[in-house]
Amino acid sequence: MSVAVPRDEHEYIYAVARVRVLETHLLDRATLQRMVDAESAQAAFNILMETEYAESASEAGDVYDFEKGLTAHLKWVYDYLASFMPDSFVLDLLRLRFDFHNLKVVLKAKLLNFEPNPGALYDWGTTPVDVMSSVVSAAIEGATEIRSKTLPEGLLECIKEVLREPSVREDPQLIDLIADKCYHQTRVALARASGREVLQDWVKAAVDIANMKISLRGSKLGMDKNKLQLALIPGGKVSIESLKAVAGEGIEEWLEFWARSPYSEALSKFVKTEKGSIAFTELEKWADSYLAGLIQRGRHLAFGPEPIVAYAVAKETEIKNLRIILTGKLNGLPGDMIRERLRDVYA
Amino acid sequence: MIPMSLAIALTALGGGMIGIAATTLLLKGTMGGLPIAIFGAALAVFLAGIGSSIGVGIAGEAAAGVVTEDPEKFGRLLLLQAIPGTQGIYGFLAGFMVMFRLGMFGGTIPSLTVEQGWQVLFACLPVGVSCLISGIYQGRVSVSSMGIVAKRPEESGKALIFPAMVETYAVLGLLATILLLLFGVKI
Repeated sequence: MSVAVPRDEHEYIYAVARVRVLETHLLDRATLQRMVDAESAQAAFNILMETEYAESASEAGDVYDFEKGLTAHLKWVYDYLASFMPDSFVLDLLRLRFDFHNLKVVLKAKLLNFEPNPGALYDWGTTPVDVMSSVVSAAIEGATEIRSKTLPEGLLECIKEVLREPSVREDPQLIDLIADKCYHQTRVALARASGREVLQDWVKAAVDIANMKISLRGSKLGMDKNKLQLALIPGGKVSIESLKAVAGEGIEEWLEFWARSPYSEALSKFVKTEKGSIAFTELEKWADSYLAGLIQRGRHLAFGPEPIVAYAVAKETEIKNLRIILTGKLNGLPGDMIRERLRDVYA
Repeated sequence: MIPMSLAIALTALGGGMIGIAATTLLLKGTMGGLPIAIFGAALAVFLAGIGSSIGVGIAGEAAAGVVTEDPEKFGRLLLLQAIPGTQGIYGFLAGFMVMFRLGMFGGTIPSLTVEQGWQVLFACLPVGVSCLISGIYQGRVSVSSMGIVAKRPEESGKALIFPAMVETYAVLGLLATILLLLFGVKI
C-alpha cells in the first residue's frame, strides 16, 4: 500500500477497457431469479456452474461447500484484477478490509495468547499474514522502532494505537473498534491522495455509515460512553464532534441526528417502514446498496480508476447475493424471503 | 499527459515563430522567406502528427484491453482506433501542398520574400493546431466508444458516430489551410 497514488487518469485506459468486458460477465437479475426459483439448493448451485463461477465452484464440489467456491472466486477476482492494474492503489482501497480483518485476528491471538484459526484469515490482503504476525509480536515485546518498511503505514499505526490502549487485554472489543477506525482512516487518506472525487465521496460515506452503525449500536445496547467516543471515526462528511455529543443517547436522538445529515432522504426510506425502530439487517442492506450505488456513479467514466473499483464492488455484491441465495436455499427459505434480502444488481 | 503534450507543442509553435521573427530582424535583408515557409510546412506535419499519435495511442491501449478479454471484437475496435489517425494524414497533406505550391518538386529551390514566407506559415496554422487538438480529443472519444463496443457490441454503429463528429473540425482546418495556400498566398 504505497501512498504514491495515481499519477494520471490515462494510465487506467487499458485496465478500464478490460473491466468493461468483464462487466458483461456479471450475473444479471434473471440468473439470480432462476437460482432463487430453483427447486433445490443443488439445482441453484448447478445454475452457477453454467456461469463464470464454474471453475471456482467446481472447487467446492457440492452445494454444501459453496462457501469455499465463493471464496475461491473472490480471490480469483482480486488476483485477476491485480494482474493488469497499473498500480496497487485502487485494489488497496478494497483489499485493506481483509488486511485489517487479519490484523484484528492476529492482535487478539497474540495479546490473549492463543493460536489463530487459519480459516479466519484471508490470504489475499495486501500484506502476508506471517509478516503481520511477526511485526505484531515484535511490537508487543516492546520493540521501540518497528521496521516501517515491512508493513504499510496504516496497519503499523493501528498496531501502535492498539498497544497504547492500557486495558486492551481485559477488553478485546477495543481491538475491533480501533482497527475499524484505523481501516477507515487509511482509506480516507488513500482516497484523498488520489484526488478522485467519486472515490472520496464513497469512502467518506462509508465512514459516515460506519458511524451510523456504531452510534445505533450504542443507543440500542447502551454501550459505555467512553468506548463510544473512542469508536467513532473522523473523516466523514458528518461532523464527528456533533455526533460525539449525541452518541449514546436514545433511538429518538439517533434518528433526529441522522435526519439532519446528508443521508436523511436515503434513511427515510427504511426508517418509515420500520415505524421508528430500526432493524440492523435493514440498515445493513440499505448501507450496502447506498455505498454500491455511490461507486456505480463512477462506472461510466472512461478515464480514471473508478470503473475498476465499481466492478470489484459489483462483484462483491454479487458474491454476497449468491451467499444469500444459497444459504436461503439450503435452509429451505421461501423464494420471496430470499428475494427481499437480495442487494441491487449492477449487471 | 495530454495537457502537457499540448502545452509542449504549442510552446514549440510559439517559440519557433518568435525565433524566426527574431532571426529575420537580425539578418535584415539577408534572409529570404523560404525558411519561414518550410517551418510552416513542418508545423502542419508535426503538430497534426502529435495529435494523431496521442489519439491513436490511447485508443490502442483501450482496444488492447478489450481484445485481451474478447478477441472477437478486434475488427470493430480497429476502426475506432484508426479514426484519430486521419489528422496526421491531413497535416502531411498540408505540408505536401506547401512544397507543391512553392514548386519544390520542379528541382529548383524557389526564392520567397520574407512576407511570402510568413503568409505560408500562417496558412499552415489552421490544419496544424486544429489537428493537434482534435486528434487528442478524438482519441478520448474513441476510448469511450470502445466501452460501448465492449459492453454492447450490437450498438457498434452508434459507437462509431461519436468520434466521427470530432473529425469535422480537423477537416475544416485542412480545408482552410488548402484554400489559403491556393488562393490566399501570392507566389
